[in-house]
Amino acid sequence: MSRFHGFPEKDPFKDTLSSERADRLGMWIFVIVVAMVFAATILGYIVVRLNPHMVLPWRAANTSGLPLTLALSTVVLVSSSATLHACLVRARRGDSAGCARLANITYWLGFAFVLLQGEAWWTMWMRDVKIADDLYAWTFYVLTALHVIHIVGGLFGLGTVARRASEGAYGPLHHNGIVVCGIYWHALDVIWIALYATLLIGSR
Amino acid sequence: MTTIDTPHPEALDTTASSDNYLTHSRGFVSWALTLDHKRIGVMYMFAVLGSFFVGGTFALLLRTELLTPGRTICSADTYNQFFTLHGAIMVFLVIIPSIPAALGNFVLPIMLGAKDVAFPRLNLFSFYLWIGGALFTLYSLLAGGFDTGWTFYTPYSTTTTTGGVVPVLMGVFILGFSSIFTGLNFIVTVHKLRPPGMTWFRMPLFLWALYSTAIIQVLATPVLAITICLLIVERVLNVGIFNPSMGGDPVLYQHFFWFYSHPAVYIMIVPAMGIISEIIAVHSHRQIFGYRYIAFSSIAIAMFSFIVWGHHMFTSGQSGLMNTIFSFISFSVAIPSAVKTFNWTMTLYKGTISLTAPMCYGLSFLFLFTIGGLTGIHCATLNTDVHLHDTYFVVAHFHYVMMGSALIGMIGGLHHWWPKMTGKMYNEKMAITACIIIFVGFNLTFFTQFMLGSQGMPRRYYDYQPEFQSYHIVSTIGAYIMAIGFFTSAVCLVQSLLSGPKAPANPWGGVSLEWQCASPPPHDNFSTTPKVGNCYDFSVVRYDEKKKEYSVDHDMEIEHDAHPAGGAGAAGQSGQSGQSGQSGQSGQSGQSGHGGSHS
Repeated sequence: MSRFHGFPEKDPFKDTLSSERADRLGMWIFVIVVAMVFAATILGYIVVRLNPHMVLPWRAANTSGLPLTLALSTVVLVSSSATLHACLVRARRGDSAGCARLANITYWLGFAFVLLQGEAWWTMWMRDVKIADDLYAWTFYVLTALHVIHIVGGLFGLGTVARRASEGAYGPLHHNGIVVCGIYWHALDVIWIALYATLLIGSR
Repeated sequence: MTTIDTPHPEALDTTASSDNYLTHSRGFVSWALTLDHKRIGVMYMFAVLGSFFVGGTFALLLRTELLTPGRTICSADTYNQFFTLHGAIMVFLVIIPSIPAALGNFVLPIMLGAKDVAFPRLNLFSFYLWIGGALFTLYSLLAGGFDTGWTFYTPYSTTTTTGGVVPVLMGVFILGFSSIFTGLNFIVTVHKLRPPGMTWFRMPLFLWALYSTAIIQVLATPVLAITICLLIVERVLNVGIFNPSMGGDPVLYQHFFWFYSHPAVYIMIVPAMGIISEIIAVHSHRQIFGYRYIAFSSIAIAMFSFIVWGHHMFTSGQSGLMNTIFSFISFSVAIPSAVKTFNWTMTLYKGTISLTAPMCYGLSFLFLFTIGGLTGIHCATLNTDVHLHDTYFVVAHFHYVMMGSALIGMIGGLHHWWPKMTGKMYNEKMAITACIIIFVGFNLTFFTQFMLGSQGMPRRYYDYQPEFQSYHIVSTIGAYIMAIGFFTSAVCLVQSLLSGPKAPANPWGGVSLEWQCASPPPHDNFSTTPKVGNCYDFSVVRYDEKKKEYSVDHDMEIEHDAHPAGGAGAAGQSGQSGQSGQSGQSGQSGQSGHGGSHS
């Protein structure tokens, strides 16, 4: 019997490699969870969009299309995925400085994506598109908000990766943090492209 | 890949040591911040049983109200709140987490031969998410309650004036995440923490069931989460895709809801089926019949669960084609369910049955699940369902499956693993008496409701025609008898904690790994690498008259491994092991089952 001191460490894994594999599998499963959330949302959108018995028009006639900043934010997000992958490649090569630089760039690209999404919201708001106007407006606000919430969650992970990369924690043998964070971040990237396509089709 | 550091297969420590998971560290904080799956499982168990008491109290209140037509004890609005709270608490706070989170957390790593689940911190986080969800649900009562039915159908949920709708939706949202993280943890644990020798087809069937359940939890629960989110947005801002005045579709809500909630039914029943596989095999001391069929039927049920949701909406305005397709697919669920039931029955056949308390619950399960399953066929038949939909027939059907099967399975599992969890034996006669009282009360309560429903009594009604009253009286009396049964069971278990005899490591004669560590288990589960064999080969079990406990003869096990009986694995060995199990143990196991387990 012993006195209790904080969280007792009890690593169920035999070695780091096993633990890292489990982390990756866990993140893959989490990505499936997130994908189910967005799949359901997009499916719901398709059902109401194709409803032949709609009482109101899908979109008020005077509403303009999607703000251009959304296209720009898409470029930024895809770029961040590319830099994160480059960061992993640098870590595998043992280039700590390059890894840290790219991790920081990825973090700030992610941050820029959030700002651009905010700008898109502002633009729509200024065009007097309110969430309660019609389902087109509702889809725009709900889908982008849902995605950006997940992006903000990802930024916490990217921030940790950037900090640890700056500390030189990643190298050819130990870079699982970048891999695990990358699985989530790349998945959000793919999901955003699907969402953006949905929004583009919906804006017609 | 192994999980334990020191490989000494021959030296398993089954003697109860003073340092077990209960005494490893002490104090409130040591429990509140524990990362030990066993403690987290025990905390879940207390939380779930507490919620069961609250949900059961609401059940008794609504049954009391239904004693007479018109007002008996409360107003119609209050009655609406009673049945809504009963349903929501029982589904989201009790049955869904009961087996995976409570019993599963305790048993899974030990059965698997692991030190813990793959992500112990995430496991604790899941528990606190559950607590957060429960607090929100509790707060919804203070905020004015809710009367939407546990399904939160729109437009009831978007237009009702009761103030507790948003808090309870928040609660269910958070509980959903608790469920997702538990499922994620279990999948990774089963994949990555199996010790050497624990191949997929050596895993106990309870683990297959938990694995299948985890798949459903991970795939279906996110849909509930987003549905709840959209519902909150709709209720708070009065806009949304479920609002027909905006071009939305309220039936879409039903699609979303049942896409989760039908699989959720299997989140509840599949792990109970896993428990029954363990109970039937261990307490009839016979190799489980058709191991692979039972394992794959769990996976099949998990897969089917995602394509049958439309049978909840036969009368909601779905197209005739959709109704027909959903009806046909719903019938298919009967196949894996029947595969399990026949295999359990075949395991019992010529087995050496010990009529212990867990076995009594197991047999109750077989009887009640058969009725619940077969009446599901009535509900899946389109034209019959048009008559039965939203009547007490459906209420009786799902109570036979959700309570008579899932909850009885959970209580059976609790009795099965109670000696392992607490290190104490309970009074077996008292536990069996409680089981019989529950069984009688349950059938009085719900079999009556089949008759009520087929004669046209709609569900959720406050008032009814006087000719239905005799059925309602019988049903209410049954509910109180059931309450007495559960109270007796609770007294029995509490009494065992206070004055029960010490439990041996292996009180029932099980072979799976949890019976090969001490009762209660040590902090790290196993001091040495556990030896993994055929967990249903009971011919290697020996009974020690002096110690009055079973032990697994590892020499026999090694011999069996060297000379496997036939090439068909489980099927090939079943006859031999079953028979030798009988000849070696029949008299002894009977003793242990009744007299040997308590003073």
